[in-house]
Amino acid sequence: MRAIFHCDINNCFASIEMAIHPELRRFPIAVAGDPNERRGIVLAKSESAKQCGVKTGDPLWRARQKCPRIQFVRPHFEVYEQYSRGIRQYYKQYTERVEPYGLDECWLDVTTRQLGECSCYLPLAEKIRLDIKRIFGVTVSIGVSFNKIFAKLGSDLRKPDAVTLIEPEHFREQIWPLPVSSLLYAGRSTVQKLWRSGIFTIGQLASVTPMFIRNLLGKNGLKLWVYANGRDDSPVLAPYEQPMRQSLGHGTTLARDVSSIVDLWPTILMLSEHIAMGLQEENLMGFGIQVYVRRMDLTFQQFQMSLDFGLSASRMIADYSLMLLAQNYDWEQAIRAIGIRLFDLHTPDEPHQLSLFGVPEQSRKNQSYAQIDGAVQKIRTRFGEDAIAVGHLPKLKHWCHPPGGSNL
Amino acid sequence: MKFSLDRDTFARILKRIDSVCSSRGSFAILSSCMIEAKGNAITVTGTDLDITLRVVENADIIEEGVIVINAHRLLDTVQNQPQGYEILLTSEGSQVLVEAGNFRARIPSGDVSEFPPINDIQLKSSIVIDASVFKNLIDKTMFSISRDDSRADFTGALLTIYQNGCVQMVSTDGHRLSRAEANIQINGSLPGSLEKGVIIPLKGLSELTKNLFDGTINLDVSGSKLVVMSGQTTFYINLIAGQFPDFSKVIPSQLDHKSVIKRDDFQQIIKRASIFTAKAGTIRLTMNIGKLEVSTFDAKSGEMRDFIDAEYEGSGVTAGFNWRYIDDILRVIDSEYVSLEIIDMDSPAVVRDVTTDKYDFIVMPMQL
Repeated sequence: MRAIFHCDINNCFASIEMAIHPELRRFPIAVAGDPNERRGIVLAKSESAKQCGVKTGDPLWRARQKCPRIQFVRPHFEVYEQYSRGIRQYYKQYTERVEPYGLDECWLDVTTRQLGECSCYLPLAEKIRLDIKRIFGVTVSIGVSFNKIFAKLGSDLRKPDAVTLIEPEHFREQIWPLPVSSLLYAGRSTVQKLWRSGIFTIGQLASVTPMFIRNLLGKNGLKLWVYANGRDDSPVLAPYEQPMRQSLGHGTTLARDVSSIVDLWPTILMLSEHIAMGLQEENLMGFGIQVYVRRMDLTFQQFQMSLDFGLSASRMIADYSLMLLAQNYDWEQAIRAIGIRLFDLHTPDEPHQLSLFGVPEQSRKNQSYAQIDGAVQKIRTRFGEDAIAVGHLPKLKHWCHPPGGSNL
Repeated sequence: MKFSLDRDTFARILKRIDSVCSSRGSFAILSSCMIEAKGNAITVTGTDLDITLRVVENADIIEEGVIVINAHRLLDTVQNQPQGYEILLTSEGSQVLVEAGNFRARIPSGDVSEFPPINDIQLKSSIVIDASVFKNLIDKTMFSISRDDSRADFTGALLTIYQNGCVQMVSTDGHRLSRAEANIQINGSLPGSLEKGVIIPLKGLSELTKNLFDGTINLDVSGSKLVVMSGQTTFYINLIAGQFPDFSKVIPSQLDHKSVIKRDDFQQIIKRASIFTAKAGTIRLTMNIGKLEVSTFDAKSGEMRDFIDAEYEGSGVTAGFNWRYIDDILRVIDSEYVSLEIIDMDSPAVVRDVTTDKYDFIVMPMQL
């Protein structure tokens, strides 16, 4: 019998803000973007704000309407990431099998030979809950069960700051009356299909025949049926088993709509720097690049290309993004939001196909720019984030050609 | 307009036309074909704007005229009639009446004025080539054309005809390159653009291979179009405007490591190795005295090692390759033996047909 914990940091962003600024604890708070930059929606809210009915995605005015005392805090994603990493590190003293699910959730496989039943692991779960509160100043809710799906359900059942046990002997009473939508991976359209067939609870889902559910929802439906019957046996993956990242990207909504490539350049550079840092951290290169833009009328467009060499340097990412936009975007509408994504990721030591024509030049260029990135990073670590920044715009004539001359 | 034609001939023409017609449906008119009945023949035209196919066929013309009709619908209708039947087509206002035996159907017709105009191009200084020779050039090179639209120059094959009668076709996707040549008799002058080289798009080539059978073809370039005439069939193919890479540098001139291998053995050993490769398909080829060794290693798929006899006397040399690239080449070589020439891990390798020097197949290694 396995023992799996699902640990969920309660109201993650808001809790971390309150842990850093204890004076905020007196108010209902919401982490929200800057309305002046058109990002004025609630990203996360504290427990007391939640009780007033504030929801993630509410515009600020609506949140204030629901909860007049609410205080808004700007998000600090780097800090949340640091916390998340710290907490994961803490989990790792109990098991190497720590599988993150987003920034705020993790599965832990804590099975040991000495302990038998799930309930024997309750003291450990309690210790983790208290330790996290003491060390990090945030609360977690922990689900303890014999598979990942029920552990996740357990952590959702009671929150905040709680431990919930779901045992093989009792899961039918605990889980089966719950709405089918509370099952992990049961999305909105799946749930609606189930409703139409008269399946509203997890118990009802568990009791139909696998054939029926397969016909209704296909292979994924069968998976849900397996989950509902407590038969999920998917392992908690250790970091080295977790599937490699498929793509890495960043995007942002612009402070105002932008209708020229010149005005877009600083944003492209900023996004490229973020991506380059991410790639460097994971020692990856991207053999494909994609730029996606949301236009003024909220419609969406994307452009992409594959490359003969791996992109990793911020300046090269920016140049190629610019080229993609310059060659493909018609500028009939101003751009409201932009994102850049690298895909087809490989580590430099993986075998990769060499090219017949002159691409090594681009590859060399990428390498030298990557060295500059490294130097800039060192300066920033030593003297602060603002110590050094890119200070020029590229020459116009390069924009409609592959960066650094022809591809050949 | 009114004409009759036997079912088999009509179906054969429409099948070819339908394959050219645009299936994407961005313009409804492009999924239609134009049929013109004049004198004692019909001319059927289909286009997707990049490729235009025109077929002339003798028919029993009862009344001259022009119609535009959905090519796929008409093909379906015609080919589902019993063999040997006569098909009678009559235009009736905005409809076309199709009759065959007891069968009668009316298909809506399109507006003739909306059909893209096809300018009749008079072949001036056309080159005459055996259809089978031209088809062979395409077959030898088509597989290494790039499917990546972001590099337009690579999405076609370069056709060059030299004054001395050498016809050369080259294609590359940036990782590999195929070159094939043949000799023909040139009478008269050569269109200048053919001497400089024109890039024929992949779809154009694949339509040509489907439609070239026997006899000879006439080739000419008019503006940005390649005109290929074979009997009663004419193709107008929009050429790719761009600069084909200078490939002369990438074909290694001097090779010290040449090994001669039985093609079937080579193909089979590569197939066996491919089972043990990851998505990238990397295999390691090692040439040693008297043998070619193939090995793979992949953490998930496992590993293998195998060797076959090879005629080789040089020092040991190893390089990694994408097995599909080697397999693609071996599929188009006809001879019993092939030569493999590997320089080192970072330089292009060459596979050749030992019986001829008319084909070069170049593959870049994978960096291991």
